[in-house]
Amino acid sequence: MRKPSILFLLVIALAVFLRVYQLNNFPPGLYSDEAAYGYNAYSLMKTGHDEYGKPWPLTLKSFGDYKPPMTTWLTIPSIALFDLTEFAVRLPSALAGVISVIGIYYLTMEIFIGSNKLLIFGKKYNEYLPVIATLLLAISPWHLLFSRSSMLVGIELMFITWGLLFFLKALRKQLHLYLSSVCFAGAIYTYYGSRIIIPLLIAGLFLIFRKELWKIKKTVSLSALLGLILVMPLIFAILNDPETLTGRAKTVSIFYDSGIESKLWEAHTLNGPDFPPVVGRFFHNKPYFYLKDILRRYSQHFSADFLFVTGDPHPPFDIPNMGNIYLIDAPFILLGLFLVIKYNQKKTLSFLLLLLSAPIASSFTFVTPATNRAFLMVIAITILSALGIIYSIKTLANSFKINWTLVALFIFVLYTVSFSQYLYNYFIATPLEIPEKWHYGRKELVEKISLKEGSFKKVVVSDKGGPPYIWLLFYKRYDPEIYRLTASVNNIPDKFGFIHIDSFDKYTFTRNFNWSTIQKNTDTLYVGFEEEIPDGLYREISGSIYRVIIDNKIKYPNGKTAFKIAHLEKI
Amino acid sequence: MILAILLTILSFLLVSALQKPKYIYLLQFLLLLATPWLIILILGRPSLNTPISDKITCNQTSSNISCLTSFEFIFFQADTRNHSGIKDFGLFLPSFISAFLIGLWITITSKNKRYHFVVLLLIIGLGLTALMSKDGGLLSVLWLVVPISVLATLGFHKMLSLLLSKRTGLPIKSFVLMNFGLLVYETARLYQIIIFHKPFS
Repeated sequence: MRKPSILFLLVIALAVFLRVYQLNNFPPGLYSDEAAYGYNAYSLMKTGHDEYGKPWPLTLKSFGDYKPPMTTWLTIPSIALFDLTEFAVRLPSALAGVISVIGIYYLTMEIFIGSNKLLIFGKKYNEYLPVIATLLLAISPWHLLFSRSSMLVGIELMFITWGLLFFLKALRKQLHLYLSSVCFAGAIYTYYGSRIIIPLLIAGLFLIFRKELWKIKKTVSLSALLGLILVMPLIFAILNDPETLTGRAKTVSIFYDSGIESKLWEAHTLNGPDFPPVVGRFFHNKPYFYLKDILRRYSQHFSADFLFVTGDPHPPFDIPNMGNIYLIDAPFILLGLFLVIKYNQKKTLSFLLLLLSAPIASSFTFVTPATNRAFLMVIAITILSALGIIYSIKTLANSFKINWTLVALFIFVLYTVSFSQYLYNYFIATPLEIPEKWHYGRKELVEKISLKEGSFKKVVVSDKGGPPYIWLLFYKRYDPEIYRLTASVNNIPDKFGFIHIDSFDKYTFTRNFNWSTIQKNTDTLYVGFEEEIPDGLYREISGSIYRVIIDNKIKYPNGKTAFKIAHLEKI
Repeated sequence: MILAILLTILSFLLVSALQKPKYIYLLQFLLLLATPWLIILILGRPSLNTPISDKITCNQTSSNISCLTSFEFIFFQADTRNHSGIKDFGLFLPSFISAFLIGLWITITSKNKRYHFVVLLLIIGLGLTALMSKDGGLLSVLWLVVPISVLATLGFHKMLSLLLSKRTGLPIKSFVLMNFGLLVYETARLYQIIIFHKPFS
């Protein structure tokens, strides 16, 4: 590899700063999945078992979504160093984000400045392409969102970026193919979607580079064998317990959603009773409806709305008032795409392949478009944008006979404005407008409960808005072995496919927390959302009257009440 | 009806300026029969000034600009209010997507400046759709139908050439056949829905 320039090092320093600054506090709150990775890592570190007592599992049962294990494994050393905190949980993703930023530098260099000698812009401008791509990823809203939260895909992207890089390098130096194999295997252990995307990506790369790979077929076979050996334990785990595969599918897959069934029923009804059923099934059938739905969901990931305007509307992946990438990126991406099509080269096809395959896994879920599941798009989009910027600078400088640095400065100002807007939306608007989406307030809630609970025999907690047990475990650093002895697990999944913990220790978690039907006792502490626990006097149907004493209110940063902690006094 | 005829003529004129073979007119004609937007204009007779002020098929927080110019709106799920669309159909059938992309590829990589004009027309169409999206109505999206029709025709023409060529590999021929098969199926389905579900009544 070439020696990195000072500019590159500065960009990396910026990337590090943006990813670790106030990592404890932004995003505001600790999302339930983050708490689950953290606590399971803690449990593995302390006892060698996950929260369910399974020794070093290859999938984590967690909320019944059977999370891939890599993020949890990587969190263990972080927790060992920094204790069980938000910072420790998010640090692996932050570091993976930085490694991805470094990766895109070398990937861009390999594609455009390596032996391929794809000098679209001439040597003068080409030299800056990797640094610009690196800078764009460093300040990318989409990439920052997942670098600053423990959401699996940040680490997945790291593995896939370096996997692709090593693959391309292997075309010149065979040994890199083994590293590529290890990286792709790592991705499969990191995120569900990789189980679909990696095989497709590898198949596509083999198709594109079949002639080059045939020349090194021995190395290809051995590296493929290495990859297979590495993923074999996961395959055995899935075969041993198919629920590890289908459990997650039930929570998100379109095949478990009733939407298509409803459309089919409507179509057959509109056919009328006299329409031949066989012909009706020919025109309106599940295969076609599902195919169309998958294609529709796939296309949503390339919409201007998803990319530039609104982003992902599903919590917690939306950044208020903006899309996943800057609006200013739009013309540069289109220019970059134009250049890639025009200068059609095999290596450029490789990252386009990544762009096209990234949304595939997401298209099979009913929550689309999905910022997290299509996260792999960010690499190709960033490279395209960098290409477009370089092309713009060169073309405008040559066309208007002005110094290219002036053009570059103008573009730099545009990005600075966009980046400033992002910083405002992320650090200021997010805590004010959507704190509940990041499960804000649980830390303070657990602290307040801990102060009060000593005076009560029981603590009844509303199960609404995320599994409350996990925050109690996390913030109390609850002993995993004691937890396993007292936990009451409800293994019957809810309508979304998630399983619930009914109770552990003195804590009971009530689904459908309804004040009028909940058992009232004066020796119980009640924890619920603002609208779930009334103030003042309350009369039971039996005639008993209680005074609801609000011990604490946990407030969102915008001043609204999130939770109430209360107990009862009988009158 | 007048608008339908006008747009159809425009499509034919553009295609004839780009491609020589006479059978391309037949291809264009057949493809136009398979486009929901033409059927909507002829049979639905929508009001051209109906505002699309609600968030119709895209997610609730989307803007009209990005909604009206999205793949989802154009190929999967257009506006269905006031006879402006057919439920679960876009302005074009989903099987047009690959042809449209191939047509786009052909025009971008072509050295013939006439092809670039189509791309320019598409960009202008997107711009006009965006400008008119606030006032809404079917008129705001009709700027796109001519360039997309032409690009799709070029794409299907290329696919047909690949299918008939002896040098084309089996995987590509299979893909092309599947695409044409899907086109025929979707067209049949479109007419079944028009005849039996009566979306314009």
